[in-house]
Amino acid sequence: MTYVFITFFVLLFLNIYCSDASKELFYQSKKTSMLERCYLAADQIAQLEVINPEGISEALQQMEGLNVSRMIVVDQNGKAVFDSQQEDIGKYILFPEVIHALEFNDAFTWEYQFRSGSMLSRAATPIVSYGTTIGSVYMMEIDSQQGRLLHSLQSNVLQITFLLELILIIFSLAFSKTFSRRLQKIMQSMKIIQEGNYTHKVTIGGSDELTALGDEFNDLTERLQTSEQKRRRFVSDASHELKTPLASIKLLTDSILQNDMDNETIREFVGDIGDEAERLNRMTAKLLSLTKVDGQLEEESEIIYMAPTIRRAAKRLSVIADQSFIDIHLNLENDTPVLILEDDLYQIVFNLMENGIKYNVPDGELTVSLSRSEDNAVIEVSDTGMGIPEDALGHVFERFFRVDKARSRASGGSGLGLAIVRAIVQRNRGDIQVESILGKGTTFTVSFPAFDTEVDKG
Amino acid sequence: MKKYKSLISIALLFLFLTGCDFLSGEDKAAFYYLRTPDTYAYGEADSVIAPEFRDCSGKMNNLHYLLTLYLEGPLDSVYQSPFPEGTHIVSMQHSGTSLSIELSEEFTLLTGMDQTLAGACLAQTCFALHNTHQVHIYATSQTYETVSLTLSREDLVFMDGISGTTSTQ
Repeated sequence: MTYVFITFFVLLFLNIYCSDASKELFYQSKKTSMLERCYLAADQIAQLEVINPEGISEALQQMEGLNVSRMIVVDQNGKAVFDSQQEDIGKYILFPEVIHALEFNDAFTWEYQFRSGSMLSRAATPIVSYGTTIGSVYMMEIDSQQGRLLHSLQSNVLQITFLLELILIIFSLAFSKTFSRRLQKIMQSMKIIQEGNYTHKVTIGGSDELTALGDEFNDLTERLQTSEQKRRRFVSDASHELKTPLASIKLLTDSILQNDMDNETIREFVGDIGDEAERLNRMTAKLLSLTKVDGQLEEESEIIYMAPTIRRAAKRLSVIADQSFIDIHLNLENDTPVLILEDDLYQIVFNLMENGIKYNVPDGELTVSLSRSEDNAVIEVSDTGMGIPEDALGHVFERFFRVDKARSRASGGSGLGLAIVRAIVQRNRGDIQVESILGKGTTFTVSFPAFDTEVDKG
Repeated sequence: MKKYKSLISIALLFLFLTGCDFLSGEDKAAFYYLRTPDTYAYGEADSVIAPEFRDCSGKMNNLHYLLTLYLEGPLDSVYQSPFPEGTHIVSMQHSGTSLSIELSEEFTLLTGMDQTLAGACLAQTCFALHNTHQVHIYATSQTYETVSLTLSREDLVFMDGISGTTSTQ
């Protein structure tokens, strides 16, 4: 409705402007024409020796038709000495136009008579003879043709204005109805989504911005649905994983309390309780780490070479590597700077190397290599461990996924390590792949965009 | 009863307050003066000369008094007096519906259309105040030159009466 009002006032303004402009045009044209005729008559009359009706008539006859409705000639006292209508000869003509003219000014007035549709024009000029005003010529014209023209022009413009406004109103009503119907659809869909039905999709016809909005809305709900499914699965997995060690602890404590046991058995059970508690502790730490990775704000990355961080992780893991009789080999000559958080890199490398030690065979090897592949810096972590079955390769990065649950539990695994690694790699714009041959070993390949300082900083 | 008395009092008060004009309409004199040029009403009867109404209660029959008051000039600034300052009545004579007014010598200072307009204003005033059909106005200057003007109602044309009857193609 606001739009309709605005356009109405704009059209009204244009209408008024157009009307005024056309009136002004007619006015100027008529004024020039009338005054010129007055000048002509005044010049002719000024040449007469005696101003009387006969002399004036004769003078006017010599001119071409003046084409006016009435002409009056007055003397310097305002008394009419000539009247084309023969009405007011000898009377005092006290028209304001005549008074102006006798004061040595040209006068012109104009009015539009709505009743007759005519233009009524009046003009008067002084008659000057030898520098003295001796009288005045007054002319009046009623022009019905021009009046009709002006009226017709104004009438047409007004009609066009109303027609345009009517079309605009109809269009606006139709458009707003369609628009609000489509918008209503989206609003209703939002309400359905709010109630938790993420499978709902909205269908908006057409190919405009509202359609695009509908498509975006559907994408959003799809992502919401996926996110909700992941959340539910995670909660379900997490509660299951946490429940297991807690159940073990409960069982062990119940056994201790309910049965008479020797100190050695009690010590053994308490040791098991401790192990389960430690596992619970590690699991909650990794859950916390994963939550942090998921919700972490973008920190300022730095350009670093990866070799120092890898060496640091290797040193940290050397103790358990020695305990497991695993040799760690580092091939770090082809180092390339990358844009990454140093802590993130450490965690990635540490987790992969730790897995490579945990799931290795005695006297096995763990090799970490750096290389350059086109625009990427590549880290390879290879072990000579038991390997991963082919059908499990696609799931190793899923949360709580373990190839061999029994083995993982024995080695303290929670199934979150690789999920954390992948989340961190992806957050740093990298990629991680895994290849494995059962019984021979596994290779994890992590790549990040190389940051060659001379090219990329420029 | 009290209620009715109050109503009647209010009605009378209303009449007195707003009906002053109504009750004393006959005591208003119409004095014709010139409009100021920027207030000319083109195409109307009162285009150049228009009446200013004055309250002259109790004096409406005294023409000499009224015309003397008239010649003092208008009160409203939209009007202006057509007479030179100091113009006054020297003598007046009635004869049937004709009125003869001798004005002081200041009137002789007016010429041409100025004289005509002054005469027209005075004549119109006389036509409105008195049962007058014709007014003869004259004055004598110090050099004994006499100016005179005789005006009747029909002699004064204030607006063009020819309209809508003849059109130009």
